[in-house]
Amino acid sequence: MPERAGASGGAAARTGAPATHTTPPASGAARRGRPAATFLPLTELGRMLHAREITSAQLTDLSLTRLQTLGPRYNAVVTLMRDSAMRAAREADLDLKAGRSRGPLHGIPYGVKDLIATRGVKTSWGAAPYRDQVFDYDATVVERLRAAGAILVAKLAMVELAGGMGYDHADASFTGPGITPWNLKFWSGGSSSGPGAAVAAGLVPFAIGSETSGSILTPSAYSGVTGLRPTYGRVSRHGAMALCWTLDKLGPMCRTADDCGLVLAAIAGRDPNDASSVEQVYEHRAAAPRAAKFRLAVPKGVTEKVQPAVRDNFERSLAAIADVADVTRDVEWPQFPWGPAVSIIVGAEGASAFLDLIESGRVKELKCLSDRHGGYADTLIPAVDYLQAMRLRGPMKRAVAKLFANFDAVASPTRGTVAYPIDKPFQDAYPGISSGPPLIPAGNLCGLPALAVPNGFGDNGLPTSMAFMGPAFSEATLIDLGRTYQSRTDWHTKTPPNT
Amino acid sequence: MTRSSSSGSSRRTFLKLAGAVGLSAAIASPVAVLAQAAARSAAKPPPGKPVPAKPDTSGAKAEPPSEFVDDAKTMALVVKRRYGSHLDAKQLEAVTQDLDDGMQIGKLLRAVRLANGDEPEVTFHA
Repeated sequence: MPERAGASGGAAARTGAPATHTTPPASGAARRGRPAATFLPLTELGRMLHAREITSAQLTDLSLTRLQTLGPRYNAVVTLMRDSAMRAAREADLDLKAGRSRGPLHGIPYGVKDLIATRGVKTSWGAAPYRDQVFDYDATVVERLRAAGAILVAKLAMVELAGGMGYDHADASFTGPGITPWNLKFWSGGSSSGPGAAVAAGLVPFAIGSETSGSILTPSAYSGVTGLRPTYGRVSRHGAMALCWTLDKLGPMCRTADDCGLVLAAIAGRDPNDASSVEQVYEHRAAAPRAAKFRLAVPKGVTEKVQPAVRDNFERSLAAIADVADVTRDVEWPQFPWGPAVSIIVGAEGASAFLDLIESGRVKELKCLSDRHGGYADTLIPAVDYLQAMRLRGPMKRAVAKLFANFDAVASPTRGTVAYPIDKPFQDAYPGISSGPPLIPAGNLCGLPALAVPNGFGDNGLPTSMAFMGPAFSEATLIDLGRTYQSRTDWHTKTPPNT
Repeated sequence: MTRSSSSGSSRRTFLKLAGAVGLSAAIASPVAVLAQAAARSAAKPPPGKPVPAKPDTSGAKAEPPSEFVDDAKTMALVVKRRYGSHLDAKQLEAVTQDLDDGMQIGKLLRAVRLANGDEPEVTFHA
């Protein structure tokens, strides 16, 4: 029995971060009288639940209340699931009382991007033509999190059709533009805009987002949260809206790298309902001393044309881990038509996936003006061009694998700028800024995992972010890197104003 | 991810940048270089990656017409015939530009040399 709701933001901090470009917001978990649990990481929430210091019902009610009262501020929530969530929370408490634990996520509330199917609850795909759509099954990721004891509290907002029709403005969802809790005049990123804002604002302890090419990393950066794009095939896509079958991935958006590992362990693995899913089990490892230094590559050009604060914070981030990482600079990134390949593949697969919407003309019901015509040209993409792009993925993978023979991960700013303003077309936001080598398209074309971690603040009090990208199935290394970085800095603990 | 708009598409922006470094050389390795430059300025950024800012083109010469302009207009007639009832004139103009941009991107992809044995990456099980 779904109920409508809204959303809003949060805040909390630790210490020890190197000085930043601009003054970060104040922090403190108990700021302004909000409950101490609001911004705690999953590891701590799990400990408290298992120690019976807090109940799942209390935690779930806290999350639901914040989603309802603060959610609308950030356009972060589509559907609140109070009844089913509270029922599940009470059951989780009974289990814990009886000594039955389903693991570290037992009793912890979470939200999912509204392209993930939930039985009997609306799944809108962020788009007006589908706002009343209801599936009669749960996505595999929802089933797995239920099995892990997590409590689904809300369907979270997103860019319509995950951006599949070519949005060029933040206001591209029937729920309005996703707003970052750090500054209400700016975007929370897309297309997982709701998960980004909701985690950042302390509305949910974690969320599940999706990425075709950048949709987890970008909102993680713009919202100041830690996000993990898993290796393609690591997490079943069954029940998630298909935009691009060969690129779509689901992954966690959390407060810490460790939290991402905990969630990934719960949702990863082979699923007979998704032919692309793989057997590889991901087992989350607790922090342990590392024998060898991390070998990091910094591709040439990643900071040349980014915003000054992005560059400065990236340099400080590398300095923070200098004693545990050998950093090689100016590494040549393999040269391929990364952007064009993604463009053609997403265009062709997306046009096929939404052919009925395009041909019926119902795309005119979409919010963003460019989305209303964006699919028509894609219906005529030549099959040869699509196949050419798909054939390129083999050589692309081999070239990148060769690079990773010498490195554990590639480090770069996640985005070249802070969040875009919500009142301008994207291309008018930051003239002259460029992110350098197209690492996001490249990583997605090759199916590689990446972890985005907050690493400071830039213009207008907005967060900046650093990304680690590794070879396929290297999530454990990336999370280890993220954990190491976050053990030395406190950016991931900062909390937005008025939350 | 932006296809185009009547005010100037990201694909065009990308192609403009590519042209600045010698796009016309349709041979494999230079094209790959150019394509990478293209991706930097984000021809059609993917879903999670909004189109980057416009480059500073102040003082730049007027953009020459695309070699695909006639093809794009022809293909736009197909779109108009099939879907014209759903599109107004301004949208059709934008679609025409999308088609032009798509053909230019296709040219970049086709310019990369592949071996006969380079198969497309697809998942299919009998």
